[in-house]
Amino acid sequence: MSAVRRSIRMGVPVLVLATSALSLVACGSSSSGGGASAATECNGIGDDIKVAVIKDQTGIGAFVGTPSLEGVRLAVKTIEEQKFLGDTTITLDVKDPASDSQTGASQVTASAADRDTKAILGPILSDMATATAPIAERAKIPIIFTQAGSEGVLAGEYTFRASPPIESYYDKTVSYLDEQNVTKISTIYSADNPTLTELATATVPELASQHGIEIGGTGTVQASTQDMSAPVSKLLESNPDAVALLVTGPQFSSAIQQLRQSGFTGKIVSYPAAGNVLPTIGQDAAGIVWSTNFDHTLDTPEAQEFSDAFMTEYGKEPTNSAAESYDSTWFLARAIKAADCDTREGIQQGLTTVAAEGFEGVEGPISFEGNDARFPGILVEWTGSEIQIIGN
Amino acid sequence: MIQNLVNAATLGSIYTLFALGMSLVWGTIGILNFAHGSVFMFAAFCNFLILRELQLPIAVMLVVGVAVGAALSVAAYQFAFRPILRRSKDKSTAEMQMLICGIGLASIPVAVTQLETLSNPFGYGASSFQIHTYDLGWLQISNIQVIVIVGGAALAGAMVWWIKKSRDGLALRSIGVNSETASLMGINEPRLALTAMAIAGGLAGLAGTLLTFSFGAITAESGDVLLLKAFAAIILGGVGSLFGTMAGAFFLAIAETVILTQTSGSWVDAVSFGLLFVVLLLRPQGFFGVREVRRA
Repeated sequence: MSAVRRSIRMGVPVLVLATSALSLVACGSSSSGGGASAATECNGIGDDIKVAVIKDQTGIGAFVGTPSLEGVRLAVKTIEEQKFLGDTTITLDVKDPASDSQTGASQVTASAADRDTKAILGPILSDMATATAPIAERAKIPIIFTQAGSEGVLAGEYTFRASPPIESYYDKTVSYLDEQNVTKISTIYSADNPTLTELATATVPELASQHGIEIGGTGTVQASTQDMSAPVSKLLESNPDAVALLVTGPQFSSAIQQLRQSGFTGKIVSYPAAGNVLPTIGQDAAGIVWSTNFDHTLDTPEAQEFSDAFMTEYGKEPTNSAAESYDSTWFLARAIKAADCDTREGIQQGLTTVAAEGFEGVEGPISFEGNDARFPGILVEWTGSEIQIIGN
Repeated sequence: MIQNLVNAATLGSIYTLFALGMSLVWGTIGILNFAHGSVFMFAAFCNFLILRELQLPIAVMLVVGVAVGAALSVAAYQFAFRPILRRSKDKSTAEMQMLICGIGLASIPVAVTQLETLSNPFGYGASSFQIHTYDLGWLQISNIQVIVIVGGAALAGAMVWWIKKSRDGLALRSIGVNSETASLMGINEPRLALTAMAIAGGLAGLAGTLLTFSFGAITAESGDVLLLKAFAAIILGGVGSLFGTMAGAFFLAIAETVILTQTSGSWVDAVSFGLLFVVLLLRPQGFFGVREVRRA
């Protein structure tokens, strides 16, 4: 009996808290009303705008999350220095989901429940983004994702993606192979990663077929596969003259080492994440080519200005994930200015307006298909010591 | 075919070096050390940090790996596992506490490495050691593969000989059978436990350094993956049998290689651990375990 009482004593406050939280989220939903009427209720931009930033600082996503956060911070600093929003400041509520989807979902829920938070710069991992997008959409809080490239990230009018999906510019990579007279390509990919699976099973075969390139073997590995010797041996049985490496983390080095040891001298192509890993491998990885949306050697004035500012601020060159986050934060600032409003509904309308017009970012001219960013992309090559742009 | 066998032998040797130490301490002093994976990783990471400052030959790096691994493992025993063993009321409580303690300890080196590398892979690109491949026509084998296979076989053989033939090995096995009786017979359990932990950590550190050379790079989380494989190898071979652990490690490596080359690679874990399940159903004590558990 006493146990029952204890359960009730503990359960009631939990129930009250849960109901309160749900009510807050529900209030967010109900108060949004129609977009147009909400915007007309807006009283301009306040002195401070609170933005939640959910980027991994620890866990497997930290290598992207950390530069992303640096990009966001630099953008906010620039926006405030330039007085782009007048005297309005932006307060960042930084959260680290530690590469755990459940933690990320809880953090988005908490930010949505906090009425002071006006927008979210969302998680970078695809699985976390697909888990959190419906939460933000239901709560009607604008969320801008970067990096997360899989389907399902855009869940409605409040969800935006400021990174172009890889498949939207991957043709540059396959065109390069075509120019190099490649006739057969084999692909090895990490099946745990939805973006890479889509790229390997749909995008590459389709683009290869368009360019008259035959698909050789296809090797599948899991994230837990560390030794790539067996899959690489299998892959080379089809005698390809190019290999697409769509793997993650240390799998790059193991696969490249095995390809070199097997005497493979053909072309190796990859995807933007290679840029984070190849410096570890060095000369063995020389000649690997991939298309990406940004490199610090990009010679546009915007890119150069950003790269210089990033170097001054952090003492290192910016990565493409830093550039994407920088642009996504500017996307948000432009939206606030366009709407002349800092309510969630106003920001959503501002984002839609800016997306329809497009803007010039550090990555180049950014346009949108609906709420999804598109960039022309660039082609880069790892020379053994640095990344070099070889085609626009 | 021969190429795949050599690939499997390399992988099996890495699994063996990693799993032997874990099997030794589990089978003798009864510690299932879940921090073993992070000892493996952190020893490799220390070599990476040193390489940023000065170039070292591979032999010195292997010694550093062994020393760091042994030191970490001994520290874990001295400051975490031993106090638990001393204070626990009974053995099963102590085992559970050490298991949880191991998981907690493992997270510290992983977090430090993640912070330093931002979870990027780290490798020995700055090392003076160059990997060369010997093309024999019917087989391609690299110098690091030769080191891993020969070194793994020699060390595993030495370990089995030591535990079977030496006085300390015999004493350790007696602790595995009954630690109280062993103490009454004058066996210095704390000293032998430290020795076992140092050997286990040293082997983990050696495996970490060799694997980083062999695969080119690892991440802060790489030890966790191997921990699961080592656990499977020990169960397959039979808890308490070092030879069984070797057999389990090679069985797992061959199964993975066959699956990766003959089927879709996404089935690797499902089939490997499915096989483990089948073996446990048909022979619960593993390949070389005995029904009445006599450890080591």
